[in-house]
Amino acid sequence: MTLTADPADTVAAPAARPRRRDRTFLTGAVLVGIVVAAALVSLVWTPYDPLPVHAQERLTGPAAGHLLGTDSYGRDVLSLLMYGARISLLVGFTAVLIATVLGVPTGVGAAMAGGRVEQVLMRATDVALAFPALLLTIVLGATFGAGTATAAIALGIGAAPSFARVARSGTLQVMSREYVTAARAANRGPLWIAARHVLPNIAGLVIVQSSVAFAIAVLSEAALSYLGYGTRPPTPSWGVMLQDGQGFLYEHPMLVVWPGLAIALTVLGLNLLGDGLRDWLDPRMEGGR
Amino acid sequence: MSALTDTATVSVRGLRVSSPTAELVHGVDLDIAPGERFGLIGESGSGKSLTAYALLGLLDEDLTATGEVAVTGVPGNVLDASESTMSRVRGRVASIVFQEPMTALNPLMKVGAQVAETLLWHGRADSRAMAHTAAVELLDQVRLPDPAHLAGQYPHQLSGGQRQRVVIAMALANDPALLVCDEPTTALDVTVQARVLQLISSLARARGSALLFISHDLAVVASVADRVAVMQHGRIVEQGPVQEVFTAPRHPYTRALIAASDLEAVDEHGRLGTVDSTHTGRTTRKRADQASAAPHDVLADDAPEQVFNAVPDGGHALLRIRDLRREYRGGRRVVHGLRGVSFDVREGQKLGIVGESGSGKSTLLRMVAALDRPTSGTVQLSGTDLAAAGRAELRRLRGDVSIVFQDPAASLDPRMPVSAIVAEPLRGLSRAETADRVREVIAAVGLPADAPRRYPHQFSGGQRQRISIARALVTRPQLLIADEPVSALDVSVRAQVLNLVADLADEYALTLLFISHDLGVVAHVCDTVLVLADGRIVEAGPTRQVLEHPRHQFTTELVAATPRLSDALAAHATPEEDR
Repeated sequence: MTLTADPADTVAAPAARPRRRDRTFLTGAVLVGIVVAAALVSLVWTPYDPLPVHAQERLTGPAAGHLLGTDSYGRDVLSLLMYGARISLLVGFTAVLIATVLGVPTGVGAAMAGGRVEQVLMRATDVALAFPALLLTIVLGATFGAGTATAAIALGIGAAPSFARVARSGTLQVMSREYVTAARAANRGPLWIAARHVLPNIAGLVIVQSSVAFAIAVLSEAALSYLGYGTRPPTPSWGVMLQDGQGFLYEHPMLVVWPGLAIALTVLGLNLLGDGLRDWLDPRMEGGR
Repeated sequence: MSALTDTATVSVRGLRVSSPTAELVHGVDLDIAPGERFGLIGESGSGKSLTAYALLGLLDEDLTATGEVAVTGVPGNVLDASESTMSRVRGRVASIVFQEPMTALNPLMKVGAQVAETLLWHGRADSRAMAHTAAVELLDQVRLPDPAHLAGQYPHQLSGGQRQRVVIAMALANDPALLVCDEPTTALDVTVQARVLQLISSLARARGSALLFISHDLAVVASVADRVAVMQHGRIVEQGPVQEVFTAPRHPYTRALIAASDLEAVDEHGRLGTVDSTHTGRTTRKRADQASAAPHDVLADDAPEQVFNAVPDGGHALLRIRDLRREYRGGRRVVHGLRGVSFDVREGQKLGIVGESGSGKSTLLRMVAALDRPTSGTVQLSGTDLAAAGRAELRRLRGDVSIVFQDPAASLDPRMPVSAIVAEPLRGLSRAETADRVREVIAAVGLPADAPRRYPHQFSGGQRQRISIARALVTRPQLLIADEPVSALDVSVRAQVLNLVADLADEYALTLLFISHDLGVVAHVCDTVLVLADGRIVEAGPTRQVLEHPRHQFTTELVAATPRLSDALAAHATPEEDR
């Protein structure tokens, strides 16, 4: 019998991921993928131009030429959905970007500084957290003019505190690890430790938080547009479609169902993606023997 | 007493445990007779814990197990038993004590209540009051001080050893026929370990329970078990009475394991026998035997300024520490990390620092490495007072000191490749120079040339510790501080890493500060030793002398409590009652 110097020379390959989790990630990825594809395609082509009004063809159900029918202005519903996908994704992306840029440095800085600095930063974050995003949108809208961009910025600012919280707790965990002590013993300053050790190790947490925030942003944009504080008609976002279709709820319910379904499936997809990402990233982050 | 028939308490035939990707246990057969004490030895990945969990139906959901497992009190095959059947068995017929008592106890429940709960659940007590009385009595039987008062405390208010005793009390509350212990003392201090082992042994015997004791530590198993089985890679490679297996091992792995864990045996070059070496002679030319000019001092009550291991003013002292104190203030409470520690370290000396948890070892390390400032006292490195040094000077001094940490998994950033990890302490060098240095130290620690490109999780524990050592050497330090560098490693790997540290210390002319709780390890690497207890140095002197003729009570206790294979085997030759 041969004796190996190191019984477990290389760690065994990680055990196969349970199939349940894979399905979550896959389903989420597929749903989100469809939305992204629709948005991208809409940049170059839609079945019909969604913007101009064709009064003659109002409110047809699924008919030849219009897969999903037309709305009260005679616009093709499918084209509107595709265009709306673009808006939802844009708002989501912008909001997450703003939230990350504002929130993550705050959280990391607070955790690494500790003491009074940490207290001040985190209490400020708490104040921001208490401020409703809707109110912020209205205020910003009144000051700068309502629209998609204002909504996106307001949502981003509103989501920043949760990013700060997540970044802070992740940073605290990383700072307590021995490899950070080793870095300090190796003469490395806080900026280096933040850039080389903290950020890569909290990336997983931030990504998962991003997917959740994205979903919330999409939902919030739809809600804001429905209420008239977000995207302004005639620009079709899913929320605006809800607003338009509201008046025809009894005769043509599908006008509301299609955008509603689009919102629901997008948010579901993003949440599943977030769950799947978290499960996928978690065991790798642990390292283990 | 448990009522047992002549049939075996545990009978296992052809046990196989598989995960979705691999088979982890490849057909295990074993029997445990009623009241027998059975030891299961193996390293990480040997399958010893899985075998034990299979007996109690504790295997993970993703694992599949086949074979026949019979445990007294469980009808049919345990592997087929339902969860409801097993939940009535666990705690009554068969109990298990795990390694980490803090996670085994409910942090929100008083300790007495938890013991009482197991009595009530299994119908051993009829009322709450009865259960409580019985619980206090059990706490007394596990030799906890003031059991009535302790029963009203929460787990976090107890020490590690006390918590483990509580877990043992819960396990034995219902007089189980089988007690399974999975590394129950590995997380405890050496002196506590000795007492807990004795407790387990005597209680199991008094109640007639069969004992299945799992550990990687041969000496510990030898002191507790009558029969032993050695597992490797999911198979039992050897089985038999303890005396026989350890004095006349037949399987090469058993032989190698005994050789590797016996830190007394070195070859003619003073090197430890490792799993892949064949050592012939048993000449003890350990570092401990080398003549050390250090004085053997013991803490005197009336000499508060006593300097241990003193180096005269002309001599080359790398480190001079005077009256170092560190207090931690948390609100009103003050915790004394160090209560006035004074000692010197000569250049080139290999100094061991021995102490248990709470002795102040880690605090001392942080002071010397300039990671923390003392409340009072001075640390002089190469003649410069660390407290008085400016930023630039401190940075330079830090470059002269390197640390190797205990946990190979936690001390390496999992997101960084090895090349970046090892190069982290280097500053002010060009890229080419950095790469050269990295290559040099990687080769010096015996890692393959492609190691710099890979990530920590692709390496084993022993290899990761080598990476840690490489990182410590890359700045060509003067002082290397090793903080329990082999405690988290498997026995067979320990010897290799110790040999490596000893070799490198010679080759790079390092002064070594070796912190450990394991006397055997310290005896092998260090010529001088310092014993820390409760924030003070209690004894210091040449290693051999201090260990063979300890003068302070604490050192004597520590030496006596350290489990040694030879002692344990000798004890087996003496009659039962004396143990």
